[in-house]
Amino acid sequence: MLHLSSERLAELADSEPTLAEAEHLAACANCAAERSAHQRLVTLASDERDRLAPPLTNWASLSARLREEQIITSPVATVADIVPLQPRRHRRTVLAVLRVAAAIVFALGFGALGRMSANAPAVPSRDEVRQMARELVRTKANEVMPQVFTQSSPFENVEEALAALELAQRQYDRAVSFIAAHDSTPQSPEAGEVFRTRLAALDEMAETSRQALEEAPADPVLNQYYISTLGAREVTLRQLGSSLADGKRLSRF
Amino acid sequence: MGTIQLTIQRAIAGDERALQTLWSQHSPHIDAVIRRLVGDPDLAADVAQEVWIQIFRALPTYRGESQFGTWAHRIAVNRTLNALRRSRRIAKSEADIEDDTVAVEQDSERALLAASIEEAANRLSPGARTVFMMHDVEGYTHEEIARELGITPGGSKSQLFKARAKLRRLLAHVVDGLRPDTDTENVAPVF
Repeated sequence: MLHLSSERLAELADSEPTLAEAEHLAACANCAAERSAHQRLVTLASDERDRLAPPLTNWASLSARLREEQIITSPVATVADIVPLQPRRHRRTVLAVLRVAAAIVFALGFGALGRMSANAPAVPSRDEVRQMARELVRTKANEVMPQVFTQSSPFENVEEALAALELAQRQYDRAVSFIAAHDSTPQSPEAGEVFRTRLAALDEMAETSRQALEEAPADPVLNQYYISTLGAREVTLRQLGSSLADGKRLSRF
Repeated sequence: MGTIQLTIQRAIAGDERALQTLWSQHSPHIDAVIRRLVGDPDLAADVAQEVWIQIFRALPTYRGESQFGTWAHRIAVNRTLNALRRSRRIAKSEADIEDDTVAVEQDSERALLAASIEEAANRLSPGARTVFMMHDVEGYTHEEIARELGITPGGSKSQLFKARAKLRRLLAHVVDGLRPDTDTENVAPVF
């Protein structure tokens, strides 16, 4: 029998040969090697499906289009939109964890803004991130970030504070999206690793808040933390993608 | 009712946060499939925005019979193919107008080996590239590809095997285990 054609060998990557072809493949090392090469190619291609890359879209421009198309109809949050939070006793631990998690998000997010305004690299070093995480774990979040957890506030009631929080959250999301899209600050050599560290922390926080939402899906505070975490994750993903060397692509995170 | 169903209900009602949640969770996968099918990054970014609008427009038709991600993935593939058809029609009409003596290097047989599947696939003809991506990467059957592309299952198979044969040559250094000097034509001559 003549050698198998390259297209037939390509077909045999994921199909069975005829009896005659099987006999030939058993006797011909070249055709057998070619069939194996095609099988490796097919495996390589199916692995490609799991390869992810930074998103092509960003929420700022997409949401503007969605508003034009009247797919987004929700108005800017008002006090009346917010349901007062009455956490059950056993949920308080989760909320405390989420507050610490939120402190990390705010610290990293606003820290980056401060650094850029001071003409410093937007990303803290790996040691700084570790130090911050250690401090947050070792101490109460309100000792590390009194400005976030201050007890004296200008709000008259919980509803007013929640409405302000939601508005601030939206502004924060838009600001970090804008920065992620437009920031041209040179990245430090460590930036990629720091982004990965942050991404891993955000994944854990997202999972924790997602699990909490299973029990309290309408809880506004949980929803805010969850959305913020996903937003921060998306921004970090973009930053991680932009920190890669030319020609490199993000294959895992 | 699970979190995802609640999120979808809120998204259908036009709630920005719910829509953003769906987008945040699924954009890495959806945008990746668009990027693979389109190839050109600029066009892919335009297509992605339209795809997401179509996904959100179609939300009221989501019945929960499959995972949301699977459902959205189908829409993404379908809409991306539509966009590619439009783009190719425009490109063809523009090419018809242009002077056909302009030299364009169509074939990449003489080009260097490709560094990745994506780069290699960009050197295939648009039809072969689409069939390869849909079958070998996205996992569509030939029957499904035929329906989506308006061709026959046999045509889909033919395109796929040609695509694989060409990719095998372009990616010889990868599939042969980092041996860039492999001369595959001598290994398996075509009869």
